[in-house]
Amino acid sequence: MISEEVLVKSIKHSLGVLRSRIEILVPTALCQIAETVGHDARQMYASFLQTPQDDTLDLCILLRSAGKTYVVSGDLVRGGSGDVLSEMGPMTFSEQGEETEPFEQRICQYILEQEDTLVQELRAGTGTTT
Amino acid sequence: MAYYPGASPAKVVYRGGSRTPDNLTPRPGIDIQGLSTFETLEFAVQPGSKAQAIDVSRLPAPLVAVPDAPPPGHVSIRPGFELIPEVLQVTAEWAASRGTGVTHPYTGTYGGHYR
Repeated sequence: MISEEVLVKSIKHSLGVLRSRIEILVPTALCQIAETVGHDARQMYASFLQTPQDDTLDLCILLRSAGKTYVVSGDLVRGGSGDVLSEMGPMTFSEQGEETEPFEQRICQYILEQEDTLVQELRAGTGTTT
Repeated sequence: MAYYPGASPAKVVYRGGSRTPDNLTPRPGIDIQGLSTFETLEFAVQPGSKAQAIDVSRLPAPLVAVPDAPPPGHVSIRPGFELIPEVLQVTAEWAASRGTGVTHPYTGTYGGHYR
């Protein structure tokens, strides 16, 4: 059975693991992990900067709820230009009929798979847009 | 022409990227005239890219959206219409919050509720 709280905890943990890896590989990178809460959605994200002058690299996981149904999607996007470097989902699941684990695994795998792209972009410098 | 808070009709500008605090904060030393946005989605991003819509009619004072092309359709969001030293200074202070992990009040006012 799906639990939103379990899923959120798992997503935040994976974002934290990703940040730790990036901090080792690109020690100068800046990273903030936080959450935005709306009335029917919550966005968890890790926002990376090589320097404060660079455009952001934002890995966002959006969890939208409609009753007992949830839709999860994610993306890695460069700030300023809005270039989408990767996308996940959307995936829909219900609190009543599913097991949490497969969704957790897919979402967390997506998060951790962004390591190479982030390292590459951060090392290259994200550049700046208008 | 400037779009002031509470202006009617509602006016939306677009900022490429995600709705995260650092992407909705000017870059220090670069965006000295304010947060860079555009009047239309087409000006802001290429097709298939991601952008955020900001309703400038809901910007709280002293933030205003000031059209300042070029580039075409460019709009700067900053705490005052005229680029007087005080406005430039406050904009620089806003930009200095980028990458610090602290959401500046100006960012928080239209960037959603962060925790």
